[in-house]
Amino acid sequence: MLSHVKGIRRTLLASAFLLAGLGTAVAGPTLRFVPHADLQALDPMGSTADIVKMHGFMIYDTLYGLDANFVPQPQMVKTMTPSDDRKTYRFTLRDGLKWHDGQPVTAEDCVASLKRWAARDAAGQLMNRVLAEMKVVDDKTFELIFKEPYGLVLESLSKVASNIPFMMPKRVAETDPFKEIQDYTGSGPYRFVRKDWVPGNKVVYEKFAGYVPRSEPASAFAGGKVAKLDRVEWLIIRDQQTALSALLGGEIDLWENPSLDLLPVLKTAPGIATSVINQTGKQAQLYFNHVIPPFDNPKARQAMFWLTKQKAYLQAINGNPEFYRTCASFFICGTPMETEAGLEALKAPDPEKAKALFKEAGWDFSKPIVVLDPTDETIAHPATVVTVQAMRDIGLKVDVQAMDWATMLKRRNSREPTSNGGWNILHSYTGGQVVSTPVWSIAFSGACEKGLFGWPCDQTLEDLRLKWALVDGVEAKKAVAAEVSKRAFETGHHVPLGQWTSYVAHSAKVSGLIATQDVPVFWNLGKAD
Amino acid sequence: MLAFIAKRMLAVIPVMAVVSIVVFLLLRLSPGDPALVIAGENADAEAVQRIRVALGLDQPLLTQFLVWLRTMLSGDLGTSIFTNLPVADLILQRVEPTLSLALATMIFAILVAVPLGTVAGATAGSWLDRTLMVVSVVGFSVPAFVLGYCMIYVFSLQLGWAPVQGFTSISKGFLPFLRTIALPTVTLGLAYMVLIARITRASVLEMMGEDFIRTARAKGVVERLVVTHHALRNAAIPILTVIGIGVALLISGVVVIETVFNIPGVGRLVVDAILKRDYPVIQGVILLFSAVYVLINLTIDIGYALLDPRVRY
Repeated sequence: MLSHVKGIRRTLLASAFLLAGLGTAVAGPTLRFVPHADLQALDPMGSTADIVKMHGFMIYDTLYGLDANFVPQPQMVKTMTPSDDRKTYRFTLRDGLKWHDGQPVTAEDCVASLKRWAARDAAGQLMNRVLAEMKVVDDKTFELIFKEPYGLVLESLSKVASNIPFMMPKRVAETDPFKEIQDYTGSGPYRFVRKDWVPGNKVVYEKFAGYVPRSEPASAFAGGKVAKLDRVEWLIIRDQQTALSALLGGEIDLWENPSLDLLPVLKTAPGIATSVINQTGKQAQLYFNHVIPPFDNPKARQAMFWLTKQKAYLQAINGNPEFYRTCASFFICGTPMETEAGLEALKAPDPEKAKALFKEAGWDFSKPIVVLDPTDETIAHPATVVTVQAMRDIGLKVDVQAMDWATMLKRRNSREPTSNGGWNILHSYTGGQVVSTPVWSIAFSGACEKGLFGWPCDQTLEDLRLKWALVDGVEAKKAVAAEVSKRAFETGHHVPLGQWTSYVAHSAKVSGLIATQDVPVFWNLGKAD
Repeated sequence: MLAFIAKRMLAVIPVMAVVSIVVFLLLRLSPGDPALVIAGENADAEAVQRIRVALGLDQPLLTQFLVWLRTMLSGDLGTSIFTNLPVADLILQRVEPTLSLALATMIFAILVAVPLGTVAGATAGSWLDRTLMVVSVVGFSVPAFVLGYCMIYVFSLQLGWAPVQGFTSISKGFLPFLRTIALPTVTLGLAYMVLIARITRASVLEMMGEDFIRTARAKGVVERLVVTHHALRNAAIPILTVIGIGVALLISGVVVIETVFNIPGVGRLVVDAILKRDYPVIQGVILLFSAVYVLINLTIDIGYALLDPRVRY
């Protein structure tokens, strides 16, 4: 009887070992990565989502790349020759550039790609205003010819804020800019494996053997993009606890967005390391509806600046001073345009002054101010809670309307009075690059109903944005950025609420992570067997 | 019997028609706009409108409904607004994991619960009966996601017997399939197991006091046959009902388990689609769920009629 029991035990143990052996994670040149979100679209011109941008950097290449010092460096371009009057820029492509289907990259492809990008992107549209012509000279050479000297040519071509001017074959780039592309041929270091794509679960890339990297070392989005992995799999794992277990169990190698409360666990876990990739981070903002009371009055909008205690917001949003920083600047701190011009209110908040400004604006404190609260959103929701408390503390009546994020996107387009579905305040956030200059997006728009939700309407601000684009040189641009900042405070455009960064967790087998000013990139990344 | 089945099947048509209209209207009348989600945070109004036009969302509601109805009646569930992939393909990619999980869960629950509940009912007050009651309380009280995390910690991280997450198709071998499905099945199945076991116990216990049981015993039928052939058979209708309800409840349970074990199933597909307002995907999956639910009800109704010839509607 005893030997029979032992026999059963032996069989069970043998089965357990067999099962355990089968569960060993596949080692070698496949990297398994858990991104912050599902890849919801494949056309980098059709979406401004960070995940789509990451996909873009995997499979497409850019003419210029932004290096770690915020300097545009040639990427697909071999030489660039500006004319003496700085109205014409001649670009010659590098030798050996190929699309994933083996065809050579031509100047025609690049011109078609730039045209499609310029139709969708704020910086592209700005460039179009002063662009006379895009001209193909020969197979490898093209020119951008401007009506007047334009100070943002290389900056636009290397911009990291979506939409990014990724190069596509001409046949793809000729797709209507407002329709999704169906052909995902790029010329980047990895190629998209569409047959293995399971939306919401897995995205697969394979090394593109035909890619010729630059010889310079990799530096953020510039330099040699060396693909060291044969295959990269993005696994969409929504649940933080499951992703943590998968990393500890060796089923994934790199995890983009672990929450901060898991940091102590990850720091002490054997074989696991943590790093900060995005050196710039993200910025939260408070937006006003400029067309209805009380925030149709600049004094009421300015009042909210005096009410803003950035540390309270950052504590609610992020909670770890190692990862957040207050920043009294519209342009995210740590980037060249950072300026505190006009923003004394953010440095020394004064609720009493805020109260007085609301009174000066003639606001009746018994009337409710509608604040939209997207409760499913992990940044905007805590920011809303802080704003509401600060407003109530000075005696304002607040009507907090809870909803999901998708509903808020719809509601924020309403210009109706609050009694009819309108709104007064909402919160959002962006990647740092979006707010690193006045023109990379419509975040600083003063173009009324054609611009940002909330419809700030200010021709002076629009003129200043164009002036910033036209002036040449970092110092000259900094001076205009300070003017933009002062004007944005005077008009109470929106309130910056501070900035934070996040960390990635990875297996100690992963090497070569590159610090960027934005999303993680996969070139130079290796994995030990 | 055939006439009964045919009548029940015909009744499915108006039910599905009503479901399709309700699903369409619910989505279109609820707030949210996929064009805004696609366009992103910094898109201007013109860009959003152009996307809306490209997707046909600028058309009147009736036009949108008729277009959708026409494509659906031709067997086309439409195309995802975000991925540009046919909804049918997206569902097909996800059906195997969900179906595997649901079937494995029900098989596990029924195979364990019915014998356990029957024995407990036939031996009411015994240690087995009391143990079953304790397990029932635990099974009902512990949320599936908590149990799931505990299972992952013990069986994946500590013992290494199963992977933490993911799904392996049965086409890649039964053993790898079993390894990925075992933990989710037990996690999801525990609650159903105790539910079915409790109902089985109560039904069998009720039957054990009936006159026909006493008659069977008086005739000298052995106790095992009294329980299985007489008590259990007559207790089958409530058990079948609770199994039917259990399958319907599985639809919501599967979503949680798919998230905890990162199984790429239909539940996660529809949750993601709802968050993005991907109308064609939501409509397609809800129609599928509704059809499954209606089909289960139909099967249960037919099961009633087969088990009890007196049952006719």
